[in-house]
Amino acid sequence: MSLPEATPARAAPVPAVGLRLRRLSPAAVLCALLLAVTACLVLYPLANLLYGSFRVSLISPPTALTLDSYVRVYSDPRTYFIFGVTIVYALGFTVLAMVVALPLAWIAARTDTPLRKHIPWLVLIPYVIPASLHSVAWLLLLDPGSGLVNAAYRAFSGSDATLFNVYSLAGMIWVSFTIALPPAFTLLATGLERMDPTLEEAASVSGANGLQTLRRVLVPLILPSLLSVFTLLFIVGLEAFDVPAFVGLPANIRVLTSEIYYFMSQNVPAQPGRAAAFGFLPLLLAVPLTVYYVRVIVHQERFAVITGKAWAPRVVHLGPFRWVTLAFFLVVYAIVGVLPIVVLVGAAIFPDYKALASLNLSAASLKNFALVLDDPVTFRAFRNSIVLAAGGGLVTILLAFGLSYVLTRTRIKGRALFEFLAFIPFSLPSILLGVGILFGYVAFPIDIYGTVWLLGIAYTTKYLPYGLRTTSAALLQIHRDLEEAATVAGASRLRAARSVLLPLALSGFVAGWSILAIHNLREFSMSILLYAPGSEVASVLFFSYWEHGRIGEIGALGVLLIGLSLALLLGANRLRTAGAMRRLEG
Amino acid sequence: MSWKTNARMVLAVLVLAALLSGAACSSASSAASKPQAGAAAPAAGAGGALFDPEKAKAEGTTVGIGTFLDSQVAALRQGFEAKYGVRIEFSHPTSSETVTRLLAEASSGRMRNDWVIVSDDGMKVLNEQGLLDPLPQEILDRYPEKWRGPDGAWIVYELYAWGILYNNKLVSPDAAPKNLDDLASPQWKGKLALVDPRQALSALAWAKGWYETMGDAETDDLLRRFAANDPRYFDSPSRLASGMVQQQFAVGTGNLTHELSVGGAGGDLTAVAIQPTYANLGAFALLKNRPHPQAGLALADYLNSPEFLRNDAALGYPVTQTQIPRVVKALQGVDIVPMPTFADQDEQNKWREKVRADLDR
Repeated sequence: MSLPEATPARAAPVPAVGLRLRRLSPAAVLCALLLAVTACLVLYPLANLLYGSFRVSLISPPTALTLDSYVRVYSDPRTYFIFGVTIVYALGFTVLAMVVALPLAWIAARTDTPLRKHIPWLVLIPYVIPASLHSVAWLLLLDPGSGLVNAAYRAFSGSDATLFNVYSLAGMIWVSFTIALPPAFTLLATGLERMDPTLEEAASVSGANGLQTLRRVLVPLILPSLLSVFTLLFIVGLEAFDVPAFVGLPANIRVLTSEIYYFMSQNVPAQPGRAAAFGFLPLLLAVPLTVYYVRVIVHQERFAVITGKAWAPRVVHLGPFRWVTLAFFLVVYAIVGVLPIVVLVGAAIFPDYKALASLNLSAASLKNFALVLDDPVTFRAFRNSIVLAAGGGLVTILLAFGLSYVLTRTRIKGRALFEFLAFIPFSLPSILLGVGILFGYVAFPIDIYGTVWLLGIAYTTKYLPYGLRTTSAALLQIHRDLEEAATVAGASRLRAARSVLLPLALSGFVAGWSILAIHNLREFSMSILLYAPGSEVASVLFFSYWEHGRIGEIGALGVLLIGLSLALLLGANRLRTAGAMRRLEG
Repeated sequence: MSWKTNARMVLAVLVLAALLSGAACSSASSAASKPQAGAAAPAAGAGGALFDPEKAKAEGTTVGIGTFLDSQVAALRQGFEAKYGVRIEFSHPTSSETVTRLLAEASSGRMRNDWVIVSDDGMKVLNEQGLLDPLPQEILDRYPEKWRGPDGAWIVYELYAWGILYNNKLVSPDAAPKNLDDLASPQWKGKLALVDPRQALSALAWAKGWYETMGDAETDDLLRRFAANDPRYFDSPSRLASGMVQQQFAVGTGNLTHELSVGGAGGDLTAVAIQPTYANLGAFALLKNRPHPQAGLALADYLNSPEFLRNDAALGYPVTQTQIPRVVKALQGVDIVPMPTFADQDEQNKWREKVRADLDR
């Protein structure tokens, strides 16, 4: 008897959602405003970038336009070599992250491994560490000359050899893998938890063994999740800048973003035309991948709506093997999660690098924390980071919620175009988006250049897709009957959205806000171009401290930032849980 | 959604972007042709003094941008803020970013900075675009003629002399390299750091100086030997110096003033001057249409005073006011010559390709 092939149930087309908006109703005006704001947010810097890419130079007359930048960049064989290195780098850490994240996700979501319920929140701890700080931590560990791991190896082995030189393509891939593993795990674990176990049970009842069930049921079901996570990580890899800047440049390993940075930061005057020409190259890959990613996610979410009855994931009982899976998790977590944090704490409490390297405990103190908190610039950067994380995240999630409403609850023609528009920054390298924002807003009628507002606009533009993702998922899972019942009872569309949709979508709203807050805290590529005295943020300060060898202050500021991020996450989780409890009680 | 629909969406976005580009272009054109609004040339202070201290204090803040290190900013703040009651705000991007930002601010008609510290290459670009406000004669007179920019647009107040640095805890003075040829020796393989001429404009200018001094064949050979030693590359001399303090490598090239300004007095870094000793020129200028006219003048007066420059020299920087002695031992009595410059970006790119041919492996 052949086994039933498991295929994702064909999602019935979601009925045209929502009612028609009456012309000039408040709801219609608000929808139009949201769409206009989104279009402006995305297209204004893009337009400035496009225009800048055709200028002869920064100091040429504004109407002197040329294709020279494109010709120079695309006719240079070195461009394609760098593009190739970028793809190898992005593919390398993406594949490594998937290979490790998938078994971890399976362990957490589908087995009886001890402590599995704690794995999801434990994995979040390294996730909140900014990529620039991750890079610094691994440099402190794996620098060939003075890295703690290499120094320990030399001390134990008695040889002069280096165990691992982090300043290499392999080093870049390793550091990026440790950064990518937490989000890869989280997304895959979510996908595994959502899988309907009845299909597996049907296979088991039909006589399939574990391997057959895996091959013919589980893999087809998990494939969309795997592909979407792979796509997400690969796109992020194409536009990554932190790790290539900290780890790659000292080894003269160039990727596309480091070339963009080079044209903007190492030429006098800068060459934004060539930077833009370089920056548009990864879009050849990133845009179709982004379109594919958006389509896969929307398909997945509609699938979840169709089969949205409650269930518990099927747990596999491993017997004594569960201790092996626990050991696997603990080893991975110790290396990827604990080690960087330990070295950052060490950098924070030891007065200098020499004391850290020799682990001279008698020299440990809180002096670096005092230095950081006493410095007005550091304090201001910390404050700005908090404001941008919490406040900026809130503004972005509100915009995302409104946009998601338009996309999922209305029949406005062309709304798909705006979804596509909102996702464009997702595929654009952040550093290039920063260039567009710099040139676009420096002459803006409202004077926001050099202020925290400009950074807020930059973050909202870049991370709107992330917010859109979570709010759309939340709204798609709420049946429209509830909203229609409110409107039938006399509520306006806005009232129905506020009183019915928002409370039900609160969980997704808070989850989205916390994701955005973390991304805003971590952001570096745009911040380094857009900050000015008064609008410094923590990530820029890390770079400046690294430039000046102030390792202790990096550690101290890093520990404070990690603590703050975890507090934000815990608070968001409490809010989400409290909201859910109130709904149950109410 | 079909591929046709996707393609239509992409086309629609491109059309919208092109329309907005046109809007951006016309906006930039009108900004460029707009007469520069802002403060008129500031009146001198009472009794013909350089600036009015009361007005400067009322302005409250002065904003600068450029390539000062943290230690220099701290020294400036310590003296200036206490003396005049005016706060200093300073951002320190790279030279290129400094010039880019100032050009962008000028094109918007809203200058946010009062003064700038950048190399003479950057000053030339800013001056050509009409961004610099000539310094008062009283300040110019503190310096020999050769350190003044055209029409007093800027002054060179300090020099960034380049040479060899080594970590004296890892390398003894006898074993330390004495010249570039020593530095390229295979014994330094894996222990060498270089400021990368492919990335850093100053290092590229220095390499140009080697070509002019030693000739093509010898310089090409030197660069290939450096590359064969698997050096760590840096785009910033200060980051190189910081890494050397942390014992990430033992020897390298860089800014000799970092012996003190990064390594600290009696610290782990030792500078070795080589012949000829080339230097970047650290220049200061006031900006036109600055938001704090009097505070900017006050800062210009203080920064170019012997009081501040002695503190700056104590950090290791050779200053161009000749009555203030050099502190870094390797630079005492050494004849420092300005680094070669580049006529334009095309020349920069040409030299970059030349060194890349030797360094890329």
